[in-house]
Amino acid sequence: MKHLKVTALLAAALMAVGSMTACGGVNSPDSGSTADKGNSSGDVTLSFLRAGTSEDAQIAYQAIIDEYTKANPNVKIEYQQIGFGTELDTKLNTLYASGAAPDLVRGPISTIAQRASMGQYAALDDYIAEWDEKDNVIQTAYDVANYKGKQYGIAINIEASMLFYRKDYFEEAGLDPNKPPQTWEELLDYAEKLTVREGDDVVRAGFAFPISSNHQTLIQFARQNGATLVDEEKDEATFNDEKTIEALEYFTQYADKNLIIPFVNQKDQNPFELGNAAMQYLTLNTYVTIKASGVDWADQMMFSPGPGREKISTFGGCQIMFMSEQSKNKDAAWDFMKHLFTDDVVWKLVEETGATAVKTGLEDKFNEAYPDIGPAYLETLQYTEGMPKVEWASLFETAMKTAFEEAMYGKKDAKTALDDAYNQLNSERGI
Amino acid sequence: MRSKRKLKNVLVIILLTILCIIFLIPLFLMILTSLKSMPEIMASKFVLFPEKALFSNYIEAMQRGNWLGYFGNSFFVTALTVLISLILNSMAGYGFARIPFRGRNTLFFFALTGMMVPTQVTMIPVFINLKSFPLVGGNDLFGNGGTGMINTYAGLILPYIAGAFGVFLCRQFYMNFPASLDDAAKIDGCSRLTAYFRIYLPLSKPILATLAVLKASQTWNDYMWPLIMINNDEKMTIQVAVISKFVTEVNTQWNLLMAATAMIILPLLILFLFTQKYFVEGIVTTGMKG
Repeated sequence: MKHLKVTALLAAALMAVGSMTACGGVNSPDSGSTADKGNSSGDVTLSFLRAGTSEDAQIAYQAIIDEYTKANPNVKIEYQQIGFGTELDTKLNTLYASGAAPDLVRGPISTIAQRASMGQYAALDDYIAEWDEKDNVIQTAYDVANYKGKQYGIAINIEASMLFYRKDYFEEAGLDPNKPPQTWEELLDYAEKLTVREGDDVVRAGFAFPISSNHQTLIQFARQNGATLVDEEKDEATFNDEKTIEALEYFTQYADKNLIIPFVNQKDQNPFELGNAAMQYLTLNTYVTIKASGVDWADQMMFSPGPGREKISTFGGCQIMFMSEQSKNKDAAWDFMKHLFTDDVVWKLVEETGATAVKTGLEDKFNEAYPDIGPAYLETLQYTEGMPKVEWASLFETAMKTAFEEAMYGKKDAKTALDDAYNQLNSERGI
Repeated sequence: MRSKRKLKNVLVIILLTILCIIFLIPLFLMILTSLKSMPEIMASKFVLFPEKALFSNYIEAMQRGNWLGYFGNSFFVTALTVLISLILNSMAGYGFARIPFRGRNTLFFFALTGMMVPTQVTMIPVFINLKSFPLVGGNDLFGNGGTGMINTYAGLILPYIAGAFGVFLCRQFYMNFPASLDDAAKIDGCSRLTAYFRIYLPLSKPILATLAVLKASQTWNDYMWPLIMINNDEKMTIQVAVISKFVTEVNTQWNLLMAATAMIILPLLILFLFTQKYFVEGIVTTGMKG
């Protein structure tokens, strides 16, 4: 009897396995990505992988896809999203290695060098050359997605960081809010005047910046000081030079003078958003979040591209639309990409996700919709530079974070911290 | 002598209590965080207890996405994985332990090497195998043309149903039985298969319970494999859902994340509570302790 029961159990298990695999059959509505596209009726299935898990963006992209597929009933778009960093890398590595790459990827700038050089991203030069709208996209959107002379994508969002500052705090400290700091010296001077302490504890930072997990601050200030950080042509790091050391030494003064509130680089931990900072580099997305939160000081925010030295430079995280070389429906994929860059869609993303208006024709509309931040933001875009486009971008990012953290916590002086990070990076690259 | 033993017992109890508290701290922090508001969590000064316990965080967390579906997917995948793996592992373990055949030890050694290869190394090859599985997901006989088992439940289950560790555990368990048991079964006219089903399987409760708990927690808690295998919300498992719903590029909703995490550990906790007697017995009898 027991034997019979076990046999029946086995049979049931086998049947279940059979039914499971049947779920993935060719007629399954959600099966697969690139491979099951194109049939005799001309139907096309595109897969679109977006890096990022924001619910607002998911809703917005889903609506855009629904609208597009309604207008193009022969096209089906399978949308999926995934977190940045390891999750994205693991998923893309697996999908590309197995030949199941998504047709379209909205990914960060840090992926371009590695994936373009491995032939995973397709060059879009020919498509762009014939595109009517090509001249209506801001130049930065092209620049950040250009690698070794080829255009591998177009940025759909540029998270340009700009200096946010509080009018009320400036006035309280006797500073003119219409004259934001223009030089490093002014920035430090303003920060000292704006810092509020209780005993030795800084309760309001004059100028806030994350001291942990932060590569952006050092990168942009080193660039402001004339450092190149990376020689992309020679494919080598150069960040242990005098210019970068000077930039890092500048920041250690903030620690020495007890001007900082230590915090980790997470968007939900920034002191400015919590009302505990007078100045901080932030992005348009934070502006939208602060406005939406309904805090009573939202109208006190003012904006500037920030100070400069040899030049003004701000750091920008870029989200770029790429097409996979493996895609079997490149024309259809390009058609959907073009749709993403129509004025209506770009504006929808601006309004609903805090994205950048990457079309030149939308500048006036942007300024009208965001009269307080618009002009400063569009000006900032001109100074925005992203991560260096090298295959070892993630190692570079780690090196910057480590050096910055070690110097800020006083573990090493600026030169030693940068030298050590430089040697570590080269050692990991095997050079 | 007796007082010495008493002192030793007291010391052991104190040590175990301390260890117990250390292990429970993260759990308590999780529960407390799940009841806090975001401003409380993000406040510059750490506060252990919430000013007001927000049980509504649990409701809000479960309203983000189709949690019934995510739980259903994880239950289905875990249950089938455990069921099939118990059958396969115990049969393989029985074979290695009780059936003498040429090359048995060599074969077992090769099976064990599977325990030494990290998952990260096998991830892409396994993915390619499943993508190229013949006659599934639009594939032809040679595994071309379709998507194989990508985005299917089978793709989540198959890689976990067998495993060197389970085979090893069962073999160790079946090795403990005396040879006379096989002789007695043989005299009574039992074939190997009958002996397995009628004698060994009924005696295997401790090891099967142990394996069930280990397999269930491995499958239930798995994040990376479902992340790369599943492409849509419909087949998403809870571990992927908990990250994708509460951790975004803009912020992390710690209170909701912790509330959802507290909910998703419950099934495993219940499973362990029901099987802990057998679990401990299984660990002891297979010599896996310490």
